[in-house]
Amino acid sequence: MQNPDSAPNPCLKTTADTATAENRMIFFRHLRGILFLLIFLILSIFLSIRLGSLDLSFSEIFQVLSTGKPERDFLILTQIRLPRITAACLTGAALALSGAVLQGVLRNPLASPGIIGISGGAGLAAVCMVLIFPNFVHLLIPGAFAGALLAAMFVFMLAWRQGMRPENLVLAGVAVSSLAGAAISAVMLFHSENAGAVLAFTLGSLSAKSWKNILPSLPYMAAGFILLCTWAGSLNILALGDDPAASLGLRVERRRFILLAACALLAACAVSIAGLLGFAGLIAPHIARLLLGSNFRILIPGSALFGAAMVLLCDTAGRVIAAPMEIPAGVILALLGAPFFLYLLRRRMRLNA
Amino acid sequence: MLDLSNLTVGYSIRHPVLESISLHVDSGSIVTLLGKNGCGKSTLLRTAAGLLKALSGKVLLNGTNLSALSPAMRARHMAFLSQRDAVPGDMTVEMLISTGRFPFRRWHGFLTAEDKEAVEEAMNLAGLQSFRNCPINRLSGGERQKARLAAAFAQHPSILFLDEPTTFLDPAEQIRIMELVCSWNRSRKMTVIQVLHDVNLAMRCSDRILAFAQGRMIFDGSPERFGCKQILHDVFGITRGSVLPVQDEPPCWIPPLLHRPGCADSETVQKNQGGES
Repeated sequence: MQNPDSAPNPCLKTTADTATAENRMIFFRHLRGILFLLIFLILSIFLSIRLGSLDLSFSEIFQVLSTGKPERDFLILTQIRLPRITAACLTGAALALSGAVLQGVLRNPLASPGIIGISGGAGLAAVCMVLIFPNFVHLLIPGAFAGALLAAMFVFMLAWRQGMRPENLVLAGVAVSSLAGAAISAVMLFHSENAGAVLAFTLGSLSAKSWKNILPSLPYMAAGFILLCTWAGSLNILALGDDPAASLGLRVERRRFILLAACALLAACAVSIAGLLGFAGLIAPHIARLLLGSNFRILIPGSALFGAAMVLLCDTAGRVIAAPMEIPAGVILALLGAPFFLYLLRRRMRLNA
Repeated sequence: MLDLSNLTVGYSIRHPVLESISLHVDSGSIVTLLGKNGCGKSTLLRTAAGLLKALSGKVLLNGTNLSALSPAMRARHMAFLSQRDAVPGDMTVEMLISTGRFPFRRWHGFLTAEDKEAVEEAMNLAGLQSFRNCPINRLSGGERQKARLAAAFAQHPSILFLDEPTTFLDPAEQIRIMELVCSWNRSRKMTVIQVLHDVNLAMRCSDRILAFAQGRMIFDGSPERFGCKQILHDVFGITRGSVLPVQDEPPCWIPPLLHRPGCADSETVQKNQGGES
């Protein structure tokens, strides 16, 4: 039953017989994309283990890890390089996931935890904890989460007018984000004697991360990741628009708030480990979407994988390029991210024209 | 089926858009809301569909207050086709239609055999089988609208709300969309409540027309009665000398331009309904 009137449509026509085959093809394309990203991440991890001031070949690395000897090399690998790799992967995955969900929830391709103000809120809280209340540093993650959530609530309040419009939310987020940035600078200025320790934090750095920096954030990250994975279906619905989603039985405003809180949690975890890694949450979801399409069931694991690989590669590059000097991962990301951001803007302008 | 009792709708209690609307909608009928831009018909439609809280009064679905139903339960009875959406361009037609099964989702979130059957049925009815895996942004306006309508059909609603479903479409596509709605209405006994701007189309495929002006309902009756000059003047402010060929007396002022089997003949519809209810 072909429709003769719609013949000029460029889309490939299928009959019912080939439909299942085509469905299978789409499934395999998605599977291939995810597998590709997984392999990419594993290769990045190998590369990152290999490179550094301790120059060992892969066979030597394997021998050191399996036998535990020599002890110095074993310690360097397990206490310095592996925690750093884990930290990079976790922060990258958390930020990318948070960005992917925010872009869907707010239906704005420029949304990301950095731009929407939740990274800024978490960063401000973390800087305050470190500089003003150093006795409470063990509460860094709850503190950063509280900061991120407060910033998110503040953004909600600013954007609320007879229900919430995603566009307003992005504008309010930009305002809150720059406010938090100014506050961080002010706090650092008043505590300039210790500000050096926080500078790397505001730039976003993964140097000198040990297991004890990472472990506290693991349960929070797992919770955020599981929550977002189980709600991928409702994210697909929310992406249809507010009225269509509401008419499908979704409590749009409540769901949006809970998803935003999950994003805030993930961003806070990332901030508490690596500081303000600006562009990771913006770029990674976009590249994942280019590869995998905008179905959140695939996009969520995909952007997490790609974000992890991206931050890891940037951190490795920062370690290697100017060795023995280290360039913070945040700086490399911003160097790559700013042009990419402009490219996205130009592309949008071209598409709209 | 659906009862509105003493309903006041709008976005703020100080400036209600429509006041004290009471009406009963029969099961299986096609009701069209008409009026000027900004007269409140879309607001009333959204309130009746449960997307907007009523300022006062009640919406009753089969005797149950709509606000007492959970959104998911409501969505199993009512589908709403909004004027605008933000469907991601790379979503395929099949995926879009599958979203209509969201209110019936299981805990695992995957489609069941029953869901797939409903999706196939809606797709076949809309004639979109050949576009199954086609991304939405490659479709023409009419095909896209058909896909959205099919998503609403897949929801198996007992009431379908349509907010200006034919806007931005060429006349042939407008007719096709309305034919689709009418055929589903006949075969499924689905109630349709819609906002239209095209008076011609409204009169050709409605069982009942409601018209609004100055914050209240000023007409409630059959399409034939709506066609008289005085009512058109009251609703739209159309006066003598306008391009429309207005007659002084009912019946209908627009000759049947297009042959539309099963849908144009509203008398048979009313007879059928009388027989069923």
